[in-house]
Amino acid sequence: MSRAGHRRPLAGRRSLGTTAAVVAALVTTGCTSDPTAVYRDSAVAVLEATLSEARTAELAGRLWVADRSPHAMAVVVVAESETGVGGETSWFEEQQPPNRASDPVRGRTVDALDGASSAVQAVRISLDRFDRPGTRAALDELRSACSDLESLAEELG
Amino acid sequence: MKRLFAVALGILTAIGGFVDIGDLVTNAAVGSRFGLSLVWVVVVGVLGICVFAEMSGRVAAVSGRATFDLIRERLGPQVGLAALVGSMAVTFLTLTAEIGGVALALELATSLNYLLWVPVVGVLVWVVLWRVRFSLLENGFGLAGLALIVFAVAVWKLGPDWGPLVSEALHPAVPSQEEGSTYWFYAVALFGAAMTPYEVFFFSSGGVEEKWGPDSLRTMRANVFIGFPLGGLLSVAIAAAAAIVLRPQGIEVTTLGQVALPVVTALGTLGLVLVLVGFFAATFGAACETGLSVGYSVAQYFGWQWGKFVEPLRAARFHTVVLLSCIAGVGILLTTVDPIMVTEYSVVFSALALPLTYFPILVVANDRTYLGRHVNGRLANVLGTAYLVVVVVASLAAVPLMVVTGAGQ
Repeated sequence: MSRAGHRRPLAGRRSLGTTAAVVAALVTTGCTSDPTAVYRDSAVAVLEATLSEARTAELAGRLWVADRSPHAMAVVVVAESETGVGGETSWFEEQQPPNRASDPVRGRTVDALDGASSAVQAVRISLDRFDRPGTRAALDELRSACSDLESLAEELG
Repeated sequence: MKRLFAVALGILTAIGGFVDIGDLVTNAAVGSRFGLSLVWVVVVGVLGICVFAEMSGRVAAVSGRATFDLIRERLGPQVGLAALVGSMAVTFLTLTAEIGGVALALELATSLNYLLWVPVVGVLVWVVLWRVRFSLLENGFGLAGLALIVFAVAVWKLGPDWGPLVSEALHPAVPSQEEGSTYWFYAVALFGAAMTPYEVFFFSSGGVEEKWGPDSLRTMRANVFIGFPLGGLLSVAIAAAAAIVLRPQGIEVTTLGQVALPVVTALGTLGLVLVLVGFFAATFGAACETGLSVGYSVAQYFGWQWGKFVEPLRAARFHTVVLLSCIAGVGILLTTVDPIMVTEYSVVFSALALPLTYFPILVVANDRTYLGRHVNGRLANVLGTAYLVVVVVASLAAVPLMVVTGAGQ
């Protein structure tokens, strides 16, 4: 039975984690912090968490393409990463930007997250088809999406 | 020759049985975020578990009675009940995490969703606890757990630049990109994972199951003082592998699959096979130990017949507690709560419950009524008291650090 179609409930867990990180930021900085800065910090946290998931998918995919890992493990790890990326993306998209000045941060972050989400999905689809050339191409796209996430996190951080 | 074999077997099973799901996840998570800058916590934790495991093993060998059996008698029913509730809650949470860990390992091997494996694992754990002899259970999973040595092999095969790694381990500091509070949160979690309460209860109850006597003290000490530290080296190897492969890529460990990735990177499919055998043995063995420990602690507190050395019919209440624990653990996991999250909380709450476990052991180990001339010496008391201070500090810090850091996020 393929792993596709089954999703670990990580989305809820990761979103919970990001929420906890934001709550922790509020606790430690006090609720008087600049809401724009808090929103930007939450964007950075989400970008970094997504980068971790996306790089995990990339590593697992490359190990399978190089014939160093069985298909079953690659499928499981990539599917978990896909769930994680999806959870982070939907959590951030649901957050209300505190003001209009935060809209550009939201727009660029959502674009980067969507790019990573699509790239991880493409890897999973190729992987489920046992398509090594397709997976290799999807992994190259994923690497590019990871670079986007990383540079945006550095810029906002 | 037979004695030497027993000592060697004990040491090997102590090494292989040292690591459980909490050690696997926490060490990999720490390695991926902090490199080896928290190795000192593993050293402190392993020394601590050695100190208290030796005490509780000595109590079992000399008095022929297990820890909880004596805690209630020596400290009274109220203190005993507090120790029982705290330790049992953490041990049950750990049992749940271990069953989840076995299911996750099977998912990695088969790509079948772990939720489908959870009931199967729950039944298997119960059947093993019901039917399999104690010595076979302990030695079998302990020896199979030695497959986790593959992490050390992977570290060697990855050929890292040893200078920075060793320097980071010897000169611990908070990494520049991390908060101090997060660093200390993970320090407390690692400490909780290394000193998790069930280990001493299982160790002392196991001593009674195996009919230790005063002549077993030397073998017991060899197991503790050689086996446990070598088991601790496995924890360090897991952290080192994550530090070498995952940390440079910004990968933070949140799944069991990520824990295995460094080994697969270094050793390919063969490495994965060994790591999955190790995961399965470590988590299944620990699920059995925690399942038994819940039964041991409840039965010993209430004075029921307990143990696998008597027929199940004669220890019906003990086996009922074990069965109910397995059912409840499976039930919790089937709510789709993430097993890794359960693991993370179990190690933090372990830290919280540490004083409830270790203070009574220190008191009992100083009582001549039970131990005669084998009571704690000066060194054991100095170390025990020093560690009691450390566990109280860790216990007080655990929850505030968890709140402030958002559970280490």
